[in-house]
Amino acid sequence: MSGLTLESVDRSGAIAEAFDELTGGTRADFFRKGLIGGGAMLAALETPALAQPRNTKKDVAILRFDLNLEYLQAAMYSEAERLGQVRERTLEWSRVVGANERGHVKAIRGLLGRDAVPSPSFNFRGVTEDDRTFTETAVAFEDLTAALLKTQAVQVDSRRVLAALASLHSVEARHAAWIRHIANIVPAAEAFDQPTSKTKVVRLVESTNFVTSLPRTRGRRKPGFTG
Amino acid sequence: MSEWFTRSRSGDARDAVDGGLDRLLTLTRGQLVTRAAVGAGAVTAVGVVAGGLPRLAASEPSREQDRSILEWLLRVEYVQAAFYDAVERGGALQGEPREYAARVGRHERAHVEALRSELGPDAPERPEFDFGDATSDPDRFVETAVALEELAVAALNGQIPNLTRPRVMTAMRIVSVEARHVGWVRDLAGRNPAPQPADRAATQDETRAALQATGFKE
Repeated sequence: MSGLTLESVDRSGAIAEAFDELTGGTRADFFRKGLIGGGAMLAALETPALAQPRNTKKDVAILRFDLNLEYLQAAMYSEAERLGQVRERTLEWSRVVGANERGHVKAIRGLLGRDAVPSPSFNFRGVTEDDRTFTETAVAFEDLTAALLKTQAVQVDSRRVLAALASLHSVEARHAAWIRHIANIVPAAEAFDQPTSKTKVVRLVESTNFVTSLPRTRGRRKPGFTG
Repeated sequence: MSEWFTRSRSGDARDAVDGGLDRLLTLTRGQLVTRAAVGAGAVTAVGVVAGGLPRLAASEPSREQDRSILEWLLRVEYVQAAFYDAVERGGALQGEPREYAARVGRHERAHVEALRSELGPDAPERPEFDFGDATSDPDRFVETAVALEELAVAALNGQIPNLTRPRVMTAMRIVSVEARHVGWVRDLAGRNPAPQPADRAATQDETRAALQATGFKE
């Protein structure tokens, strides 16, 4: 089974940088770990950094939508953590998952480069202070985000973007299982998770009325949640 | 080395680094037993893998490459299915671990069937495994389940970008469930279910090395 030759296509180093931000590491850190861990990673890092390949229009639209979704989750969980009104296990979840979602924001902004959009404004309308409502909302967002990323994984043009989305996708599924476990809902109900459409996610976001204003956009940029 | 095995349940950046699966932990089974005895619930059984950066196959996705990848992923699923089968046969677990094993075992068997049906009549057959006391000792069971589920997530994430799009969907629908298993069993084990914002992607070689390091006999 060693027939596949593996090599990095992360020519621009963009993924490496995004992961540096995610793991709190540095390129140098990866080098150090590479020395510990083996040649494969070193090979990936030694690939010369070239100009970042431009994302296709489709990939930009997908990544912008995801960025807005991550902004929302990061803001909601961070607020729950700051207010400290939910139960202890939920609070712990907010703290860890909030940090992860902030990491996702950075990673997706990194992938988008100059095409990144700023965050909308949010009002969570008390949801971050009520354990039951917060937990239910978090389950909905985590399940749906994982489902949406499946749909997007087959839509994106770039395999580099696909690889990055896959590495975030499984973390969203961990979040979903964890919050379900806290809420006494089966963490992994079925053998296969279903994909979902962007429309369903837009509907969920709209139903919450969490988004109070979209940032002013420049040029052709469209706010992600207007579908 | 002990910091490799002791994971605080926190989400700060330091934990994200320490909690990474990016170190090539190649523990033998003997070491696992020792660590399990010493660490009492703060143990990682098998660290999967260096890496961390998604690496793509040099060749573009193709049906031939799909086949080779699916055969590989089937092997990973075989190990998991066999593990939970042995656990259920042994009947040593109680309470939530037992419930977890029964449900997750069903999922892994369904994954095996899905991959076998994609591969058709020439799909590789399931080997026999010997998991030692990992299926009968409750602490070792949980730690081994964490390790095998982490390994499956990393293995699938590593191969997803190398598949053709219809197979990407198959793999995404499976990896999502494996990641739910990880989240569930890590919470059961009292360990941070999502210690990092991004999951690792393992190559076949890395996955194979991690599997060999378990010492589970094929």
